[in-house]
Amino acid sequence: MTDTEVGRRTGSVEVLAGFLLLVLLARILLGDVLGTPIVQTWTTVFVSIVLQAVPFLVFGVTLSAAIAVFVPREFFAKALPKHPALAVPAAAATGMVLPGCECGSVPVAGALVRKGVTPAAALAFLLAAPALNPVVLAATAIAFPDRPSMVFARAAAGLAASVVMGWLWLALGRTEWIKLPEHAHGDSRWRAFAGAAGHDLVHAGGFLVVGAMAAATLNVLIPGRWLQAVADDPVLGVVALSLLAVLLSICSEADAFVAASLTQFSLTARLAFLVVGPMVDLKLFAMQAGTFGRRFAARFAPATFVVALACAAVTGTVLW
Amino acid sequence: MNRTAATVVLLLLGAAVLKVCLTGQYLRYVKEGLWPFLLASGLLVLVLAATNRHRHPKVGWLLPLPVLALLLVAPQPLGSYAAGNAGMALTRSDEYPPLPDGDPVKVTVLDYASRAVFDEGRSLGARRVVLTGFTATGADGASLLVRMILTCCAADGRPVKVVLDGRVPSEPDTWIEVTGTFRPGSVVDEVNGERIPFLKVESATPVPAPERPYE
Repeated sequence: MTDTEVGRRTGSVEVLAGFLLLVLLARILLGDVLGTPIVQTWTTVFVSIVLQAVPFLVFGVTLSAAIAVFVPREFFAKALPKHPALAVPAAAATGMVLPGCECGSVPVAGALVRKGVTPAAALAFLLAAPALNPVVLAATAIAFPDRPSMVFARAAAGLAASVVMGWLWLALGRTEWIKLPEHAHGDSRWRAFAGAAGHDLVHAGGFLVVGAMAAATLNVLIPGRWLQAVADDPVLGVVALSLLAVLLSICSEADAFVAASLTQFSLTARLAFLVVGPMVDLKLFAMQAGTFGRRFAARFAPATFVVALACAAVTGTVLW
Repeated sequence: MNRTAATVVLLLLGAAVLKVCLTGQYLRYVKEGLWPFLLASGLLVLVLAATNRHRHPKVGWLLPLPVLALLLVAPQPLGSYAAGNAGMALTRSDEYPPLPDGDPVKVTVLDYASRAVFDEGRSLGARRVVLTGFTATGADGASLLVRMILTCCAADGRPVKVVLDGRVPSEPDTWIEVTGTFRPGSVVDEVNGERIPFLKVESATPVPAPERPYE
């Protein structure tokens, strides 16, 4: 270890100590501000989003570390169809059976790419897993008791959007857009496992905090009554609810209940909310930027938004 | 972020998750069913902290923010601000069985509102009911009794509102127990156009905030 490294080490802990002290001071000085209803609500929503995501995130980083360390490289090559165009729907279908949410699927998709899975297939998995798993579909059925077709519509539009995005990546995607963060290597398998999991947790967790702050801000600031103004227009309604899904960043297991309470909107608009939300939202964008790099996220998220919105609009128009 | 700082941050995160689990504070933020998963993940984070041997990315500096908010600020459950911002949430049910025995009978705000709106009060009749919730003021100045419901976490919290017809505390966010009877009619929630039912108030007493703030 060199002197500069020793210097940096002390610096890091001092920064942390200073930071903690600053927060304590802020707590005392800003007592009144923290007490206002809007700030209180913001804080509650912020910590709730993070706390809700922690188990899924820990599960996701554990699974991704297990894939990284214990699954042999040949496994996915054998398990998925050779042709990338076929590997995409196969990976999306795998996403349907794995109960996870968006926070967990980001590190898992990162681990798949590292393991040599074609990015198109890993991305189809990334989009399909939170949108289509059995827990999410069951929640949708409970939230829409009068409309069983909503479950089918959600599954169909979500699967279509995941597969289309995978194929779109095959056609237009460039590998150099993806920049996976460097991974620490351990001297034993278990060391490597704990190292990878800890690294992903701090990394994805940090980006989760960014996303949760943004989502909490919009959750508190957007008055629900603004939506009333656009609800009556069929086209504007679909666009508005798609945007709302991006801004609110609600967990995919809960979004059906929120959609069910948006009764002033058409079924197609609410379907768009359910299809777009698990695939693109502020929290996910921050986490994708962290795992796959900013250049990737800046292209992937807008494209996913358009594809998911289109898939939902087509499904809704055909069904209802 | 170097190894020591990363270890401290992970320790804080694990400790905060375990603390809110063991004190019941987690009920303010997430649904009850998450408890075993929160506990397990809190322990796992502590294990990862204990075995941590690596430097970590800079973005990890943000992790202490929610941790400190949990430990130092201990944010309150959603209240009247959130209730005013979101539209009345109700799900229609197929049938409304008779109320349980008792006079007055304890029912949830959600159950009362569903029976009042969708069953048009038939299964409520002239029975005296007791509801527990917090106070809020409606857009037109009406006194509301609110209980938030949530599915995963407070980000998806939605209000169930009842207009109180009678004398009740005017200060918002006061937890009260209201005894009363069904009164026909409803007002429109200007947020999403849903119907908000009435309750004819017989008496209202302030009560401490419940351990489970959501229904």
